[in-house]
Amino acid sequence: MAHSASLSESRKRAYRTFGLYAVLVATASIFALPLLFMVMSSLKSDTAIFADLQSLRAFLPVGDISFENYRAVFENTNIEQFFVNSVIITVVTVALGIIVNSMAAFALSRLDWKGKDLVLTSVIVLISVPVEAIVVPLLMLVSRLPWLGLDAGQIVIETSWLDSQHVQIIPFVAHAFSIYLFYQFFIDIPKDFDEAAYVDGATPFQVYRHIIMPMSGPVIATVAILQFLAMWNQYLWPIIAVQGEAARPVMPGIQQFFGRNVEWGQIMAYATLVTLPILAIFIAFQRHFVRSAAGSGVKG
Amino acid sequence: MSRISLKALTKTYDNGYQATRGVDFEIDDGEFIVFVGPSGCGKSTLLRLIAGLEDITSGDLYFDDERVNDLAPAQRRVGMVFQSYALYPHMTVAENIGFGLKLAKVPAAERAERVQKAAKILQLESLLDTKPKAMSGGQRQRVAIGRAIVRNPRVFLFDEPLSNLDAALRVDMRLQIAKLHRELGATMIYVTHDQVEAMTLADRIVVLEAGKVRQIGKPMDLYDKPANTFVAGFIGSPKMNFLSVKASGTSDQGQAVTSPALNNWSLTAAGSFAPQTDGDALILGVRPEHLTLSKTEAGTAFAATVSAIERLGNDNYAYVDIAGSDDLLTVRCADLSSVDVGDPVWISADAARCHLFDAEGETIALPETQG
Repeated sequence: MAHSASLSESRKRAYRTFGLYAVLVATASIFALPLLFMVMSSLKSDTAIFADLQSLRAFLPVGDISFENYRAVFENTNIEQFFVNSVIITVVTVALGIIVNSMAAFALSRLDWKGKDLVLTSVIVLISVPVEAIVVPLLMLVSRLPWLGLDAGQIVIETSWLDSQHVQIIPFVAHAFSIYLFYQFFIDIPKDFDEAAYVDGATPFQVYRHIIMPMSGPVIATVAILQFLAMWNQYLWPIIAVQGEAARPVMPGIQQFFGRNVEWGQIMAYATLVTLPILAIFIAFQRHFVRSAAGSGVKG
Repeated sequence: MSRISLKALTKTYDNGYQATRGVDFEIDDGEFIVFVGPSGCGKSTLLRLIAGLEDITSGDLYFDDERVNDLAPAQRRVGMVFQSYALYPHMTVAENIGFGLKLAKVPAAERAERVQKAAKILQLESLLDTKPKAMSGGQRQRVAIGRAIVRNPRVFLFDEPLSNLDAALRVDMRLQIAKLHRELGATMIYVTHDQVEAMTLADRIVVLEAGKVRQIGKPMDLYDKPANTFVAGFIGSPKMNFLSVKASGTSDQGQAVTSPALNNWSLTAAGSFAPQTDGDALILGVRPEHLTLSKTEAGTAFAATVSAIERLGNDNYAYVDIAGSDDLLTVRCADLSSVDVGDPVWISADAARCHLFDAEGETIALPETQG
């Protein structure tokens, strides 16, 4: 009797597990299938893509498979340059962003100074201001800012930041939401650590450098991931602030490529290439991704 | 090591709250001083003022003859042990202990030697490469002490260092801290709300209430000769019993008092007291061990009813109800086997061990009586 009861219980549990997995697989498919379609289509000619469109073959590496589209992308576009630009812009912005935003949060959360509350409130208010709202004044500002540049080995004063990598980096280093994330993390670290360090002879910067930052791995990962995504996917600002190809990142590059090319296979190859770094980062930091999305209350 | 002078030390926060008010006393070189008092009395604030972690609003603080009001904690050369230990979780024990030396740019070889020495004193040698999260509470506490001693501070500051440990470990660490004080001969200031720690560790105890010093003295002086009802009630566990009485004559033996609420029960408290006018309201203080409980009426006893009994093995306490008081009296008894809750009993007090306070709660014992 007891044996049959436990058998039916284990069967129920198996059905529940099966049902759960079925739902999870279906949900994952909704997100994975477009990516799979993109990758598979990047390996096919336009004729094959359209021929396979009505069947499951669209998601399978069947038919005349080749890397021809990738070769064409590298031949027809400056994607290597765009890639290098994107990597430089993203890595430098994320690295500087971690330093600048964490320092700001440290000052807001752990030092006493007049006007601190007002600044913190301003930072929180700034979170809700979308980049689209400040694009025009920002453009006017950067178009008039001077910069020291190099021309044939000579240092020259450039009269504008436009058409450069730094115009895509500097305005985005200070990031209100990142400051807020650091602030939220820092205020939960007991002040005893700071005080112990001050008794040990530390300066506020040494407390930041030697005590607070080494304890802030999770929030550094969160900010790095969120800023990486935001910077890699930058689209509007580079389109406005960068006209030439020398400083153009990958995302506006796809728009330019799309504009002059109707070869779907090549477009899919380009899209696959620009998606790969995000996928790689996601796979490498999957755990942090989930945590950062949950911790920040935003979509990952 | 340092002699420390606090001169009218006051701390007022931005919201107007006064955490300490004109605190004035001296700590001798090598002395072990304990600050005690209830929560919010200002004992931790006072320690933080000495450490330099809080700004002094008014008054002066001297280490030997050097005014240190405006010096940063490290410049004051204090070593501090925090209630939470505050060990840096990303550093090993050796790195935790040596962090202050590293900041002071002490050469690596000397640093390692001094860390080893501190670790040896605290029996931490086998744990030097361990991170704090892998250690027990007692071990963490020893690392926190190691971090303080490695810098040869002029004064050690302990902020309720044992309150996170279990009872058995607390006794062990208390003995270790006492041993450390003997070995180092350092000036130590220790904050606690645990009077057992205060009584066992201190050369002198500073009792604080609402930011003010209520009494400073050797542990047994505070116990035997409290200056006021606050200290009398705070030092000693269970606390001293208080009875409202009236002065009823002075004699060579001492001050006679009568309790109208206890059917005019009277007693002559032995000792020298400031002269009182008959009928003046006074407070009689008697410790539980100086009361005697009897099932039969004795000559100088008053009636009571047993309200509760606690048998602790080595000590037994009877809590008794008396007429005219909402508070229960606590009586320590050697044997409570024949007593039950609800029994009528007779309570008498040892007249030689009674304390008298005026209506404001200040002792009326004359100074010579206080020794």
